[in-house]
Amino acid sequence: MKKVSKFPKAVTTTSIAMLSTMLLLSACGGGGGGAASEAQSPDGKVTLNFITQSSPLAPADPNDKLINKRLEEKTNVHINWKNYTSDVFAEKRNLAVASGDLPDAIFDAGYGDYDLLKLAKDGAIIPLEDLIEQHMPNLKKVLEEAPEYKSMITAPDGHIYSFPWIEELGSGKQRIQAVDNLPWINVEWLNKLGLKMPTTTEELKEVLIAFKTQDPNGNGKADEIPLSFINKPGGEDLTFLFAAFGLGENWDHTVVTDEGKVVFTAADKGYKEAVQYIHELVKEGLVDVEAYQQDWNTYLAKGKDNKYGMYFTWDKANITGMNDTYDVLPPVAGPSGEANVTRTNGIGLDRGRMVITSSNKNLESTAKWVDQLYDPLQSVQNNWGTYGDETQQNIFEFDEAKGMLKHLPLEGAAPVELRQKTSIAGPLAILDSYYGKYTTKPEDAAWRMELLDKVMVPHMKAENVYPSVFFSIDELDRLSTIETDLFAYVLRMRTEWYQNGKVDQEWDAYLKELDRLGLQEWLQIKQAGYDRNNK
Amino acid sequence: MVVKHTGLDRLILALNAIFLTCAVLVVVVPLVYIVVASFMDPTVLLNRGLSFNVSDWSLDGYQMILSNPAMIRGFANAVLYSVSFALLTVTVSIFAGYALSDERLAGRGFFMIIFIITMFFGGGLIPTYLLVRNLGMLDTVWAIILPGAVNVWNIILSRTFFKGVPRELKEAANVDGASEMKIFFQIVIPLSKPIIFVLALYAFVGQWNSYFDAMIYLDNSNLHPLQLVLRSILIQNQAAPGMISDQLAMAELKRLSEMIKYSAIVISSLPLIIMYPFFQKYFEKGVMVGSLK
Amino acid sequence: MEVKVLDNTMDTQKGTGRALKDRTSVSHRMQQFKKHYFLYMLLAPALILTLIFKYIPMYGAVIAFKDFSPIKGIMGSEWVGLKHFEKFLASPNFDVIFMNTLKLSFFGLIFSFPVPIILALMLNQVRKAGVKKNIQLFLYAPNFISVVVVVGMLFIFLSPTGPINQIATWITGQPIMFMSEPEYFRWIYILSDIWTGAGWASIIYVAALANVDPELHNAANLDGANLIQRIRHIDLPTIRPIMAIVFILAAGGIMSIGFEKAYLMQTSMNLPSSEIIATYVYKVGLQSGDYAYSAAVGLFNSVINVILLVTVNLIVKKLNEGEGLY
Repeated sequence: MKKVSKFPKAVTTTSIAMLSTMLLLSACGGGGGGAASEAQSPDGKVTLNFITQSSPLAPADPNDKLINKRLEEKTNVHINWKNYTSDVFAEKRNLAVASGDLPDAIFDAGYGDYDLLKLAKDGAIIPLEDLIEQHMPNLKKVLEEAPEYKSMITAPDGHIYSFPWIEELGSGKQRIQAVDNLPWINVEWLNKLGLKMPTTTEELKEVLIAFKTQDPNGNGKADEIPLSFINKPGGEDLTFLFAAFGLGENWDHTVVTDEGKVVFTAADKGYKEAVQYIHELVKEGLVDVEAYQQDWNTYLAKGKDNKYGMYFTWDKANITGMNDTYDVLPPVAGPSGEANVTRTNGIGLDRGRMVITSSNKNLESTAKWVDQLYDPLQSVQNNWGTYGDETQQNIFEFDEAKGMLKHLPLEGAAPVELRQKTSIAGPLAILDSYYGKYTTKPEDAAWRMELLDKVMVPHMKAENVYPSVFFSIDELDRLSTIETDLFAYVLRMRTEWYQNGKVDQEWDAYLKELDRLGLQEWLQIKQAGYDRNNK
Repeated sequence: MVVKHTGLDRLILALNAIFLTCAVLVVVVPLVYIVVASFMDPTVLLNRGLSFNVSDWSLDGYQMILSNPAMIRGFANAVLYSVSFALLTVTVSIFAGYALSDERLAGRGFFMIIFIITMFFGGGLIPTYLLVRNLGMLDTVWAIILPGAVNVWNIILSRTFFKGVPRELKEAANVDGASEMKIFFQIVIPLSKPIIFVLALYAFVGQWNSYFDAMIYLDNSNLHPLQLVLRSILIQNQAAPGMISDQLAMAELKRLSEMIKYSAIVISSLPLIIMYPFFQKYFEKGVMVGSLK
Repeated sequence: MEVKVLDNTMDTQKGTGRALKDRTSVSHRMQQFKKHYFLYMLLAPALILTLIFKYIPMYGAVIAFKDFSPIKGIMGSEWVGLKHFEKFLASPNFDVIFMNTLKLSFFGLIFSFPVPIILALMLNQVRKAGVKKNIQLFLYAPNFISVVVVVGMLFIFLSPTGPINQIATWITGQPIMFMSEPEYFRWIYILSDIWTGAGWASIIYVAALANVDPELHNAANLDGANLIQRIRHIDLPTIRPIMAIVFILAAGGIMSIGFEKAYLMQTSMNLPSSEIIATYVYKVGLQSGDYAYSAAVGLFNSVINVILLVTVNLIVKKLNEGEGLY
């Protein structure tokens, strides 16, 4: 049977042709359609292409939000949004950059410091300080009013590469972020057992023992959990209590002495004593057995059932509700007789909120549009929600006379959903001075800040915190590499010590291991960063 | 003809039955947990454990998922992608596996190595993405089914299977004057129903449960398959960036997300479980036997 | 006792009668090609798709040796040689992480390999088709459950106050901290993997066993063979080729064990066994989409995988009458 011998040859030639075309095609890096818009006159109507992220609850096209519609009218700039849901955004954003399909700008970019510096180094994003100087009076005003932010958003090479998000809720010791893991104690049980609010660590231990043995919930079963927490750095950790023994502990293990020296909390003498104290509590059976592995939902479930004598979280409303069963525990005094509250180093600043790419040919229009976001009334709306919307519930009402936005009562609507549907987030600035002038404070924030001011601030001994330093690329690389192993080791060891109490015996070996994992280098880098920042 | 069992045989068969029953139990208990959990409020669930008391049940989880309009589209998309993917990859694998199983194919080992290399070394996400984009396949169904269509594992499996087809069968047909093509399509394929349906099942299920390719290549959310839609619904109930002042509501959303977790599993597995019996009859005994005769 | 065995394995190729020189010459090969072009056509789709979607992007593998800059593209990025590899190998706990990965995969392979086979053989003995179908359905179902849910359930079932520990506490007075202690991590990981996947993996063996002629069993039975002997001499040889392939391929995947499940199962305490290469790289690279670093680690893993694959293939070939992967 004679088969057509031309056939295989034809196949071979076509395949080779196809393959070579493919090869050429695939090597093409950028330019595939070019997502940045062409140059347009800033005086006419300009169209820009941004990519952004939002919650799946929000409208798929951000231009459907009232705030964006009003912005477009005001600025005569139309934004073409490519909007991704938050779960896929990081990948999509990275791919857009990696494939060379850069849009004009990336809004709500979520870039960390390392990303910003890397992108700047690669030339994917551009420096912004000239644009700010020439076209952005609102942002300039913000930076003049609060100059500490200027140095915070400036990279080590002197350039500003991104537009920040700033949300001040208190400053200095009164910042709302100063303490994240507040302790809440069951005052109902205290009253039932006729006990007073404990003021020292020893009294606290007695109270917890009483919770365990005297059946305060009156059901005849010893099912009370005197103390519970989630063993992970964060708002549910019990490290609030460490402050009773010295410098205390926070989630990045960093405190600064009054002389300006950076200290690693987990190597400090007070830390050792604190861990020993916790072990005593564990030994008495006062600590939730599940603390070392439970997640938020398990923690929440037991909390809702009011099983806890004492627990930790940002705001008791999350777990046991906004009622009087639990109240905040004022800081207790340790063996030294003094109480202390350790501050976290968190502030309401997000550097990499928005970047302008190097493909942008409409810099002036873009800068002017972004500047609108820093207008005080605009910032407030972008962050929380708007007024005067006839189609859905409003977060605010606008007081024309005072030029001020007032929070409206929510009447049961889930605030998060409402905000995600109406606010646009992005770069903005809300300074402390705005409260009472341009806007009222959100209720839950106001409540918490008052609480902190009354109960915690008076006991904060440290004058310094660690500022938001903008490290260099190499420093960031080293820090992240060291921290991966170092922090994990610290957490593991103290968890073991809570249970076996061997902190004294193993302390020296522990310190040696910390050094092996790079502690000294870490301290050096952080100290250098601190000194630079304070010049 | 019934096989006669010795005493030892009976013992072994009895043990067999016991082990299988245990295996089923070990599997079933957690499954029951999932189904019941999908109807329960997670707070109640975590505090009191499973409850078969219907008054403890709620349909919130299902409601949240099924009321989302993207679900129906996601479902339809998933069916389309899974079916087309299964068809394509099984065809490609069976063809290649047969070719590679035939010793008359010159350079068999060479081709095999070409395939195996791709199991270990590859360009990674970025070059593949660039290629797909330059071929104009972004936001199309092709981006989902073409790049992954060649599954070397499947090719190897089918090759192994075809090697087990008796040579005499093919030679006999050859003697009768049948062409290669005829032998393949009319004799070997009908015999290969087990492997074909196994590969089809694996491919369908694999594609049904996947979301990564869709996430990367499909911008248009109308094209998203079920798993991706479910993921968005789940994620929307987790932390949103930078919102300090909404802790209470965030906590509530986290609770819902916990509940949806289980309902999502039930919803996405149900079609597969329903579909499976149709595939199963091809695994039964005696398929090859008939043809030998 | 003689038991007849049907040899289903293909005979190895005998010579065609021509001299070796002739058989390998180009013209001979071209002739073979023309004669069996149908076979080549069958091979073509897979080959073409592979060349396009796997080989063309392969230039990207060099990203492991570069300081990747998205603007410059992969080819334009600066060459840094082995810098990423050095960074990886110099990680302070490298040896622990490496061994964890190896141990987890290796023991996983050893323990989970026989289970689907045994299941298939057991299922094969079930007489009633209806019962068999239902059992199969149950055994396959766990495969559809996402790893997030599986791990969530593990935490619940194994929690200090959970059902298993209620029994343990009753016996020993103390709960066992399953998820906190490093010793348990591997067992829990592997056993839950088996729970999830063994039933599903047994499908391929069940399908293969479907091809066994019941006449063989009858004949053997008449010859006096008991159940175990029949299984050993009829069923096992049928599935042996598949067993070999599955084993070799699994060996070739040992270093690439994925990160999701281990990451979900990690607690502050079990890191000494639960930190594997994939989770560690994920954490270090969490700073940014550090493609180059993860690519370098991936390459490192692949090289080891290839070595394992070739070695195991050789060994299996010796045990399996020369039949291996290639």
